[in-house]
Amino acid sequence: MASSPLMRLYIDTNIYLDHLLRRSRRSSRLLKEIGRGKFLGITSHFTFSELAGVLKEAGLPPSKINTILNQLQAFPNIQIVFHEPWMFAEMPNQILNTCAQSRDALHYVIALYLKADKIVTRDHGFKNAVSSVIPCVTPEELLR
Amino acid sequence: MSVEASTFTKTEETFDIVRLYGYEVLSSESITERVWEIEQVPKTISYPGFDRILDVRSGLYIRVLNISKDIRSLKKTEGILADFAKKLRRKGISPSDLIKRVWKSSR
Repeated sequence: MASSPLMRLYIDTNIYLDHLLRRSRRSSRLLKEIGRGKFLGITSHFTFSELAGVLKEAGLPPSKINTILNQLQAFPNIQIVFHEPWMFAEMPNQILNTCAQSRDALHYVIALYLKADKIVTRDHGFKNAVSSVIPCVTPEELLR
Repeated sequence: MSVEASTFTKTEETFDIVRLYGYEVLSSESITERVWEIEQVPKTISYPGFDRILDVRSGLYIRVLNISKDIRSLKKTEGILADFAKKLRRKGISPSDLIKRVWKSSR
């Protein structure tokens, strides 16, 4: 009998940020659960560009930022996906089909085309824009 | 080894979806036709920094970052910006808002 497939989760930038800020233990727990193989994680390489901006805003030196980004990228069981050119080509339509802003659409297209079961995010605007297509959950809702 | 396709096309009309072990995937024929116009594309091609792999669930060839995974990285990074979190709380800025602000104000 085949085992049921693991849930594929798209991890939004704010979940990594929670983990760095120690804002929510549930975000850290979720990332650990993914690392242990309870879920399959995916995110966009773009996530780390957003995080680089936040770390820069926090006043960290570039060498420290690079170290942290490398550590975040090393989280087990989270595949970091690059955008394909055709994904960019289809982004305007995806923005029109949802209410996603262009920044959010960069996350959304990866989740959409990689067939994520859920997007894990705390961004209400993003959730409202895309949840009719892909369910969006917080770590608390997921690990309830 | 360069395998960049110059003739990659992807249109919904040419999708050929099959169900495989509960997943909807592109049939192998449509993958071959659609993704590359080169012969015998291996399932994984390594480049410096990333791999091109066939994602079984979506049926798409994708590029993923090639980096060694390390479970200890979770512990090393947890709360590493806790001091910064206090500053944000004092200013009433949520992390999601911070990401948006950084977009608009990056120097």
